This record gives sequence, C-alpha cells and structure tokens, in this order.
Amino acid sequence: MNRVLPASSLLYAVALPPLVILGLFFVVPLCYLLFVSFMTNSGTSLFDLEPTLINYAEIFTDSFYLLIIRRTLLSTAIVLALCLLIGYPVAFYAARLSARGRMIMLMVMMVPLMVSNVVRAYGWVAILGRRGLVSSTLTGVGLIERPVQYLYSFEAVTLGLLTILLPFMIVSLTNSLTTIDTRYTEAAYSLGASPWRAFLRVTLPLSSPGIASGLMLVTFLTLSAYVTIALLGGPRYKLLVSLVFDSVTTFRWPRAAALSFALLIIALIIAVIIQLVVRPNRVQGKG
Amino acid sequence: MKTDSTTSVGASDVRFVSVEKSFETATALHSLDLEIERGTLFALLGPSGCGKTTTLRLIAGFEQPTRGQVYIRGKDVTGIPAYKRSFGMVFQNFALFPHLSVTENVAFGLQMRGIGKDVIRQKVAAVLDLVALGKFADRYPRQLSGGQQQRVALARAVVFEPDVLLLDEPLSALDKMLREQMQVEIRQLQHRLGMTTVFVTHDQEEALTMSDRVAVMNHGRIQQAGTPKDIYDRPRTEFVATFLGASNILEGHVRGREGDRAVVDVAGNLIQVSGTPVSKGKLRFALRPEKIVLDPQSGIRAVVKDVIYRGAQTFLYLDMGGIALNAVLQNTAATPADIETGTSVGLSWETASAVALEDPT
Repeated sequence: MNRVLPASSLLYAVALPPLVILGLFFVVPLCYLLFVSFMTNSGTSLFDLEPTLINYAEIFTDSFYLLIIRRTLLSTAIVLALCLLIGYPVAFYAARLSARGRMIMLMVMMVPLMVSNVVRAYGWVAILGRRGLVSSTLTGVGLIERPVQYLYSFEAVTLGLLTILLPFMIVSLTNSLTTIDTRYTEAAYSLGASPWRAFLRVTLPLSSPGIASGLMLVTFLTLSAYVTIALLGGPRYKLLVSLVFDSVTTFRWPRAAALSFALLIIALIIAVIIQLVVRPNRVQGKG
Repeated sequence: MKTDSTTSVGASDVRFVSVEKSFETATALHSLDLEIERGTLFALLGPSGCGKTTTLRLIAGFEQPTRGQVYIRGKDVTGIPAYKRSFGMVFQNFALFPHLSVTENVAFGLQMRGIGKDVIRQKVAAVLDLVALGKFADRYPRQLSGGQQQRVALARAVVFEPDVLLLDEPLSALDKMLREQMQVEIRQLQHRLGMTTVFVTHDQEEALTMSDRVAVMNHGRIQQAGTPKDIYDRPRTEFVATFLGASNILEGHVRGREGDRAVVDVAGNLIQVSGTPVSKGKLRFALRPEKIVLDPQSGIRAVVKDVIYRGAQTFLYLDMGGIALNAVLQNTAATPADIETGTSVGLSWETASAVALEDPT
C-alpha cells in the first residue's frame, strides 16, 4: 500500500492540468451557454436578464423548427447509413492488406482532408451548380433541355457530407477490423460456418467497437458541419446548425444558445441509440 | 458422444499422400506421407518452423497443399475448404468468441449444422458436464480462468462429434501446474471419446506423456514416427536423439561385428552398437545419459570432471579418453554415495542402449 499511494497521487497530479483546462474552457462556458439560453432575447446586448422558457418552447412547438429537426435527423440517419454501407467493405478490404499497403491506402484517403472544407464545398458547387459540370454536360448532350440547379437540395448536402465523413468511418472500421485475431474466423470455419456466416456471427459483432466509434464520429461531425451545409444546402435546405448561425447573425443570442443545446441533446440521444443498437461492449464479454 | 472407435480398428482417419507445401519464400513441407489411425492421440513434435503447424493447418483446410492429397476418413478432402470438413479444433489461445457466452460458444458448431434447438440444449449441457463446467454455462470467456477457457475450447471442438480433433499447442497458454493437469485431462477425455486427435507441440515432455504416437519433425520432414517409447529408446537420427530428451552422441570406427551388433572403437573403448548393418567405416550412435551405470568391473573407463547432486538424481560430467560424456545416476540405495571429481570410474550399460544413427544429411 505504501508504494501504491504515491503512484496514484502522482496520477492525480498528472491529470490535474488537463482537468483544469477542460473545466475552465469547456465546462464553465457550457454552463454559461445554458444560462444564456434561458434569458430573453435583446436587440442591443447579448441578452436581457429576464428568465424565460420561450427559446425552448419555440423550438419544440414551432412547425418550422420541427421541420428542420426532422430534416436534421433524417439527413444524419442517411449519412450514417451510407457511411457504414460504403465504408465497411472498403475497411474490410483494407484490413486484409499488408500493414504497409493499409497505411498507404489510409494515407491516400486522408489527403482530401488536408484541403479546407470551404474549398471542397466550392468544388461541389462547381460541379452541381446551374452552370456547373453536370448541368452543362447534360444540356450539351441534350439529355435535359434547360440548365438544372442540383445544389441546395437534400442530395447535394448528403453527397457533400458523405465525401467529407467517409474517411473517418473507414479509418475507424479499419482499425477495429485489423485488431480482430484471424483465429476467430478460423475457429468459426472449424465449427462449420461458411465465410458469410462466419462474418455475420463473428467478424461483424467483433468489429462493433469500430462501428460504434465510427458512427458517433460521423454523427457529431454531421451535426456540426456548418460550412458544407451552408454552401451546398444554401437558403433552401437548412439544418439545425444553420439555424444557430442565423440566430447569431440576427443577434438573438439566447435563441442560438437554446438551439445549440437542442443540437447537443440530439447528438447525445443519437449516441445513446448507437450504443444500444451496436452494443460495442459485447466484445468485452459483457452481454 | 461415443464414436465408433471399435468398429474399424486400423482404419486411418487422416492420411497424407506425398503432400508438399511451399509458401512464397520457402518450402514448408517436403513430400510428406502420414497415416493416423482411428482413435489415436497423435503428436506432431518439433521446433518452431519445422512444419508441424503447417501439417495441422493442412488437415484443417486452412492451407491447401501445393502437391499431393489429404484424406480424412478415407475421403479425399484436398481442395475442400475448412468449413466443409469435419474437424474440431482447439487453438493456441483458445480463440473463444469473446462476445458469446460459454453456452453460445459451445452451441456454435451445432447451430452451423442446423441441429434443432432442443437437441442443441441437451448436447451442450452434456458436454459441459463432461468437462465439469455446467455451472459456468452463462459466463463469458473473459470471466473464466485459463484452465476453464481451455475446457470450453475442448467442449466446443468435440460437441458436434467431428471426425478428427486438432489441438494447436493447446497448453502453451497455461502455467506449468495447470499444464500438467490439463495434459492428463485431455488424455482422459480423448480416451473416453475415442476421437482421433492430432496435436502440435514443441514440448517433448508433453508429446511423451500425452500421445499414443509421435511424429518428430524437422525442416519440413518427419524425422521419425512411432510410439513415444519406440522413438525415445531407438532414435534414428541425431536430431531425434537430442530433441527428445538428452543424448550423448558418440562416433567411432567400426572394428568388426558381433552377432547383429557392430563393435565401435571410441577413444580406445570398444563399444557394441545395435541396429546397424554397417561393418566398417565410421559410425555415429546415441547413448542416453540415464542408461549409463557405474560398474567397477567394466573395461570402459572415464574420468569424473564434475558431479552435480540433484536430489533424485546425480549428474556426472565425464571424460572418456578426451570425449565428453554425460551420465545421470538415479540416487537409489545402491548408488555409491560419494563420487569424487578426478577419479576414474568404470561404466557399463545394456548393449541395446547404444543406438546407431542414420546420418540425417
């Protein structure tokens, strides 16, 4: 016991600075934001010191807000599903490569991430806009009569988010799949499982930590991906994060704060759902 | 759980016909012929890289031979994938599915064979009783000790009554005490089920205590196969003689023959060596240290260089006319209590103990 005590107090000492930083720059502002969200909107200052529930009440009663929340949930769900469906086979392939080949592949996938989101979103604008690549090509060929605006739609936003977020999903899944001992698969074969059944009963459940972390990462990034949504969704296709920005630009800080909390709560609920459905803890043998 | 071990005695459950396996960089097996009789506990013994694991994986179908045929129960299974063969396997670290309970792990093989739920429940309960793990049915692998995990792995591998049971260094993950206990348990279970079992090990003691038959492998070849006693008492190559227990490897010129034995001159001592047709030239032979006894009347003399007392045994390091020789004496009442360093002693042994070696190269 004599030796354990100094060791654990050293641990606390090491943990203290980051905890202070986290508290000072994360917990305190968050509490302040929560406080602001219950104040009255003011035309002149940050807020009027008059407690009210109106900011939250509006979000959950106003049909416009409800539409945006539904739309946000749907978009997130579709992006998650596509990331998983496209990402899993890619990760499965990457996990079977040699360590070197896998590193090269993941590096190549990461290269687009080095380009700013703004630049990439404008790239999509150049492709999907009324005078963009797709529209002008199709008009030139004669498949469509007039230039079509493909931007500012659900599809444009989904496509934009997908291309940004897919690498995160793939990296997360690849890491998880490479740690699965090949002997588990061989054990499944030895018990008479076909490759497909071995995948469903053994590999897929054992990769659940990667699935869960990938889905959570994509969820949080989708919900907060303002630039992509603003540029590809435009004024016509807004998500919850766009409304936070709109409230700020119209100086309704308490409403922006309330919307931020709504966003945070949605993120947490989705995270809980992911945990319950994917059950990443089962690889630890905890049911 | 009973297999028909009595109905077809002598039938081979696993047969290799000139099986060759090459990997990109090296040849793992050179034209291997192997026959494992029904109901035997067969050990593949050798150092790492000798091809024993490759042999096991060829039986399983995790690897396919470059050349030659593999038969299981008389059926040519060459080219047939692992999941279509009938074998149970215990892996080195057991490879129990961590996300499934003990029951689910054991039931896996039965489920894959489309067996009804009620039958599965009965069979799983029966086999868990057999390995004394009935109480742990709902636990997860992580909640079990190493020995318990080992038993679950065994139960999972035998519950669907495969044609062959394969064990890949099954005891290497356990500590010494548990390993010795599990050696006995596996052997008893194997006898009760009568299941043809092939197990891979680099531990010669494990191979000797557990198996009915041993194949000693080195450099992708079977050096010698037979019963443990056979191989231990009559090693054919220097590798076998030294890998399986310790041996003195001696060499000398053949001076003549006496009956079916050659008389070899080793540093002036005339030693009879059995099991060789050679009547002239050089001859190498093996002599186990524990076969040597002190014999004051013997003409074979050696000088004691060192004596190490080890309780039950005494180790003697001897010099026989410039040749180093080790002897292990059992410390029975008949053994002289004190052997002084530097004295000359007479040595003798049963003539059959000096075994001629076919040079491996």
